[in-house]
Amino acid sequence: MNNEGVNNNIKYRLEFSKTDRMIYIGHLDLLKLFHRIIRRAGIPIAYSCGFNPHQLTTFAVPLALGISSVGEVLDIQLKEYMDCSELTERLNAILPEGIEILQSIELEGTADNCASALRYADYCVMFDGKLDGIEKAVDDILSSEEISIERTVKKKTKTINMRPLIRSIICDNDGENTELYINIATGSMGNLKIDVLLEYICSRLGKEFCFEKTDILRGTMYTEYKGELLPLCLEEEFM
Amino acid sequence: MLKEILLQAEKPARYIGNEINMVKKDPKKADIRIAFCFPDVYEVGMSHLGLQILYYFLNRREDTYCERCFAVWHDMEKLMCENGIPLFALETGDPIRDFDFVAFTLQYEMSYTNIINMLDMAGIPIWSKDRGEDDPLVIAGGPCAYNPEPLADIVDIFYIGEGEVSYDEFLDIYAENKKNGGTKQDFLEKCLKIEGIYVPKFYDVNYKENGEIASFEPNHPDAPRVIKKVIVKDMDNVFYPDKQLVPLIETVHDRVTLEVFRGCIRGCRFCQAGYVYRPVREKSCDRLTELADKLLKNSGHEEISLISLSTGDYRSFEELADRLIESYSKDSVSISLPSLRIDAFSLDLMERVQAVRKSGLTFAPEAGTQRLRDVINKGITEDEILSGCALAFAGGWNRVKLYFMTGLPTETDDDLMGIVKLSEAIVDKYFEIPKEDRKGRPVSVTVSSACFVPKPFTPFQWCAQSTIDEFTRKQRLVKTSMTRKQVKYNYHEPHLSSLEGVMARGDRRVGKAIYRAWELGAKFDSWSELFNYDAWVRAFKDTGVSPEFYANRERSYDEILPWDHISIGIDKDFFIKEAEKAKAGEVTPNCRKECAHCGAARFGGGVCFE
Ligand code: SF4
Repeated sequence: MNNEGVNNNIKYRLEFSKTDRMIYIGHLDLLKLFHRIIRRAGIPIAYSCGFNPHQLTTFAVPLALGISSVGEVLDIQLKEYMDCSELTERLNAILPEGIEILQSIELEGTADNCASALRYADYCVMFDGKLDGIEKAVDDILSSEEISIERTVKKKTKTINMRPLIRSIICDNDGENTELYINIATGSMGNLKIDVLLEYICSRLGKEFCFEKTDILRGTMYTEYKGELLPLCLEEEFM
Repeated sequence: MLKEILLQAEKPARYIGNEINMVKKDPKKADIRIAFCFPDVYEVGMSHLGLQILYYFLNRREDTYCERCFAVWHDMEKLMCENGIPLFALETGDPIRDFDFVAFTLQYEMSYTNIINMLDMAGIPIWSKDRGEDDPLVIAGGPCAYNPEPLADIVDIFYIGEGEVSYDEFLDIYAENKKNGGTKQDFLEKCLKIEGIYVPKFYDVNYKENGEIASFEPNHPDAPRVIKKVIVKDMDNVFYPDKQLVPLIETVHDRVTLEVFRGCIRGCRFCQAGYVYRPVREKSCDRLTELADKLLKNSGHEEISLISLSTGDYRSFEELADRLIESYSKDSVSISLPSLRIDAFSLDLMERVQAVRKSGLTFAPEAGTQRLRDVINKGITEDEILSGCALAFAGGWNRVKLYFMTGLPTETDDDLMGIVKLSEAIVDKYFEIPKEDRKGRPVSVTVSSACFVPKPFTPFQWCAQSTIDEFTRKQRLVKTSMTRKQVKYNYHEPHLSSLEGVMARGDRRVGKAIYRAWELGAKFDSWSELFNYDAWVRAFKDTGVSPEFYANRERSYDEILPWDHISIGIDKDFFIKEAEKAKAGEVTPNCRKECAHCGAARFGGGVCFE
């Protein structure tokens, strides 16, 4: 167990999409897939020490099966420096259709990893058909101070206030399907699951929320810097 | 629609394909579309080496697009049925009923009801005679195809032997026939000239009053009297894929599989694989290391498994193992070595390749006494087992698994008690090592006994199988005699093995019973939680098929056996000689010690000419 010769500071952040057939792959399988792909692409990935060495990778936050995304984030630690565009290209050359690296950036060695930096995420939701009265329901939610809902986690039921976890909801009910653009707290400092929110919105309208019939797309994920939201995957000079 | 259904299914990734190294083609540009069907769930089928080989073999042809299709788990079946979705292939999602061929691999008898279920879900008529010009042709191959008869009225074409040999000719003829506007019948007739191809409809069977076969005759002038298996002669120059489909979800085996050789020199008399794949044909060490390199690179797997019926019999085994260890141990690639005999050399090797996981060691004595092991020609002695265990215990292993069979020909209660004695002798061996040298946890010996199923193309093909009651009594005897707390005894469900006995040696009449069992709800029979024995009992009753006639009856050497028109290249006389030697408890040396002149030398290659 020694770290001799290992440079702990060569870190990269990848932003990737997960769409089409790949939405049926769960988080653990996705993790394994990335490990394989990274190996296969011959990326000089760093390994942990110990009897069962594993690749040093960190995902920002799991994405539930059935949800698409164009804003997933993954940090990796390498043994050698690599050109960012080469990293992107080599992985994309062998990734299965439905997963694509959108951009890679080099991280400052001391930067927080994506999981601990994560604060908020965008979602774009399209319902199956039109939800009447959705505008008012959204207004009501946004103007309340407190929204208590019951959550059952590991057989324990507790009441949480959902309101502070919601940053914005914009409603577009002009088309044939109701669309919502949502920004909610995501990550270890506060987390609201998108399906919990949607279920709540539907219940206010007296409707049953059907996950299978709703198209949910996760967009950009953000960290917070001096009170501003900054995309997790952003070149240094903007920070 | 599909999204909604997939999200309700358990493990939707079973149905989406899209794996690393999946072959993508424009289906419109493919003259021949094949659905390679594995009649079990995705995770089982994807771990099967034959699928991986044939998938790339067939897809290397420009005119052919071979896609995959697996049995759908019952939750998904219900959803598909409710929404009117027919069985589809993973690559394109297109219904397989629109394909040219639906090709099943027959790996075990108890998957036959799944074949019927898959045809039904695809909207393809089940009986061959009910299918028309627009339906796909149904092909089947694999180890169970050596006795094709139970499925002879369902499958149009059986492929007898190794796929790499005749499929090109077969598909060329098909493409030609299709281009010239030929009918299915035209094609089937042309197939009769291809080696290894069996078209059941060109043969008639007649039965005697006592149920035995009276005659089995071709009804077409071109139909060969005997269909000879085809095998690859030169394993180094035969096609082998340099990549592997890498599943997106966990499957039974997540690793690179490297086939070291085909066949087995041992000649265990109960083992069908040991005979039907004769003679042994090896790949060279150079070829194997070259393949290992490509496969690991192209898959990203971290484990490589050397596959064969008995890997320790590979002539350059030591060299191969050394070279693999040298190349990959630094990349944390582990090497797994199933089916190794346990001795000082292999223990040392395992120590080097399998890192620290000193979990279980496996022995397969198969029978409890030396007498019975001689009968079945299992060339392993009690001494070898005990000294192997002693070495293992001294090396820090503390768990041993033992595999036995019950119901072997000539077996007595003494032989069954031998299972108990041998297991206990192993426990004693452990306690012989000084206390201070026993590392860690206490010793545990797990004994599993399977129920013997006599198989075609073995010296035991004429034998009666034990009845369910006999199996139960035997298992109970062993169980109640096991007194040491370090020994754990598991045994197989005799009902399943008994059905397997019917399928394995069944003739054309058995097909009706399989169909009826499926109608009554049987499928996934090899999954204990879904096994529906009652359906089978009723199916036999409804169709008048007597399971005892097939499973529990001793045949005479001159009876026409349902698979007599198939030749695996081994003479029937050899099997008769072996059957007699078995009764006398005489062993037959392995192919490398002394050739027993089984007939397989006629293939002109392999161990017979080493
Ligand atoms: S002919 Fe001899 S060497 Fe060849 S497979 Fe038969 S017994 Fe073995």
